[in-house]
Amino acid sequence: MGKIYTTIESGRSSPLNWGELWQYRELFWLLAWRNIIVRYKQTVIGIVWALARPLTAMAAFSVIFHRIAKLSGVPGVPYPMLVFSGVLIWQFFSGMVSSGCESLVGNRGLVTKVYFPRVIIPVSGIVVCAVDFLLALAVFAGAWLVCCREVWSWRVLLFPLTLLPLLLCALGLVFFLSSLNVRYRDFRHVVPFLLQLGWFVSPVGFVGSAVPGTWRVWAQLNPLYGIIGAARWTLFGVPLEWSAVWIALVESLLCLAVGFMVFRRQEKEFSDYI
Amino acid sequence: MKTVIKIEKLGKRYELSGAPVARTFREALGNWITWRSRRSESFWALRNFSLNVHRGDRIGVIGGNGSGKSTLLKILSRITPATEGRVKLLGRVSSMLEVGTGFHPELSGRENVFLNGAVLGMSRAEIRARFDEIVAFSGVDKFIDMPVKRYSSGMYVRLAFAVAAHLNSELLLLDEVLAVGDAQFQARCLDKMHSITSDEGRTIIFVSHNMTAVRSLCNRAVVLSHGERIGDDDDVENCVNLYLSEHQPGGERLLEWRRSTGDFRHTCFTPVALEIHSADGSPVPEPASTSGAYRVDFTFEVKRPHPDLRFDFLVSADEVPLFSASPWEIPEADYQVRPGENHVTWFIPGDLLNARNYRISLRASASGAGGFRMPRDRMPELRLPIALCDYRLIRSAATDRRLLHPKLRWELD
Repeated sequence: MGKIYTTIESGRSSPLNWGELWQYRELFWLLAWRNIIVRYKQTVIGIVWALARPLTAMAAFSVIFHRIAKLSGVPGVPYPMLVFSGVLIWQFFSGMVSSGCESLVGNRGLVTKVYFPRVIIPVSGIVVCAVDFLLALAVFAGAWLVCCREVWSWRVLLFPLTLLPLLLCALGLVFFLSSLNVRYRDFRHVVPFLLQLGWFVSPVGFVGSAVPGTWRVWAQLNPLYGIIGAARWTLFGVPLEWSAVWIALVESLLCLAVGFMVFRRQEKEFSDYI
Repeated sequence: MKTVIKIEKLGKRYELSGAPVARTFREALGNWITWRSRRSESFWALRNFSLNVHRGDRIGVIGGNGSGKSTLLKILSRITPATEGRVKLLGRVSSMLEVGTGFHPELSGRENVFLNGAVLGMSRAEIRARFDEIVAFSGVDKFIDMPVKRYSSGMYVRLAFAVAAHLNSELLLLDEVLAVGDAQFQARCLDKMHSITSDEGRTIIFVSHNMTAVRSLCNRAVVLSHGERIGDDDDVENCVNLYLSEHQPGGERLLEWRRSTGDFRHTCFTPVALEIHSADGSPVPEPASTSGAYRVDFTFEVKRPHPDLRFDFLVSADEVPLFSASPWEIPEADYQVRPGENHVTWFIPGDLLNARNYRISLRASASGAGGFRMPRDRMPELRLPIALCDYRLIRSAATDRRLLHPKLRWELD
């Protein structure tokens, strides 16, 4: 057994210890695995949920935006499939943010009683959302293979790449919100409200080109605009708006940097405030 | 002796929650606008604490509630940051501030062993290697694949302790975890902890209220009071005594009652004095112990004896009547009161009472013509808190609800 030295010093925040993070990788996987097990314990219900939510949202949004609001889609692509792709990404994102935001407070027992790099908690919460996402993605992929033959192309290989800024952005928000939620509990009321808003502000039920010109500049400031747009480009060949993609990339990186900084600054004192 | 933990002038300051420290963002915003946060108050939960711990030491940290014991453990286990000072630790540290941290009710016993082990810092390979040992120690083997939400609380605690007992880190920080489980299991925990430290050369810091556990487990001790270390001796016996003398026993002491104006009086019965001493007549020691024997002296005045006068002393704890003592209960004594001052004395044997707060109250009445009944609220009474248990504790003091603890005669073969 190697000799381990630890020094605890007051008033100094220690630099991020990657070696220690590596040491605790098993705890990370176990926590992630616990979250998954607990979520899917009643297996049928768990899986049904993971599929029912995107499918109902898809149906509702298709009716509202296509049938009622008469928004037009893309030639060769059934409108519900457009919506499905948006719902898929948006639900992944909002799932990560909402569960991540509560993750520290929800694991108060761990935070106040044992030491480990706190980063593990919010990140392990995200893994469950990834499982939900993959389940829904499998259904989507089946539908895509069947209904979207006309728009198949090599671009679909880039689809996973579009998820990268999504993850970075969600991770940044999760770091930021979960640590603020420890200090200020009213964040738990703000977050669902903002996510609710996001359903309609982000191009989930419509395509980016449906936004009138003057509004589009503002709509592009939402990183989800660029991300969903890029994903639809890979899946359906919807014309890509590069400006929106760049905005999404820069914002995601910024979000991650700021979120992580805030988290690291608060991390040491979580157990005093939680 | 090799120093494995070196603590230098450690201190922790908390912002007082009564002060305007914002709990919500709205409040924080309000404070920020009005500059109110400048006024926040604080207190030191731990201050100026220094200690060198050698390899194989079993240090008992004793102190009352809020003395800083838990804060010390939390700093050492890096759960909370120190405000001042520094600590150097050599070796892998595991802390157990609670039994079953990270246990999830939905998961099975097996799954929880792995999860809890990882939470306490064991690797999966280590847990797998010791899994059978852990299960055997906990004694829940038949239920290991059942969700722990269906466990009895005893099973739950046993499994959780079993995981912790098989940690193989060099430094163990324990916070009163012995206050769990049934008597038999506690004895096993103590044995296990003995063997962990003595056989395997590990170091333990053990925080407890339980003097018996500290005595039997530790080879050195420190006493904390209001966040500071008191006394500079680290001998366990001296520390336990220092703690007991510092620490006010839970109950109020009232060892003497004397009549004053307004107290109950009647021509056939007027209580004058009621007091309690040790059986040999010396004052009741502070703290009083369960092995002590006591005498209760009662003086009363009678102007005109009443044939039906009866009085007795009711001994109760936690408002539960336990037993009473009356001179008329002894047939051979044929007790008669005389006009003038009367004295009676009765004795409480040693090894009868438990470590609790006792109340001894006088009840008196005389039925028939010229009689009386002393009202409840005017009964003279004594209070005798007993803080020290002298019997071997096989059950945690915190969960002990027995009002009496008589020493019984046993025949064991």
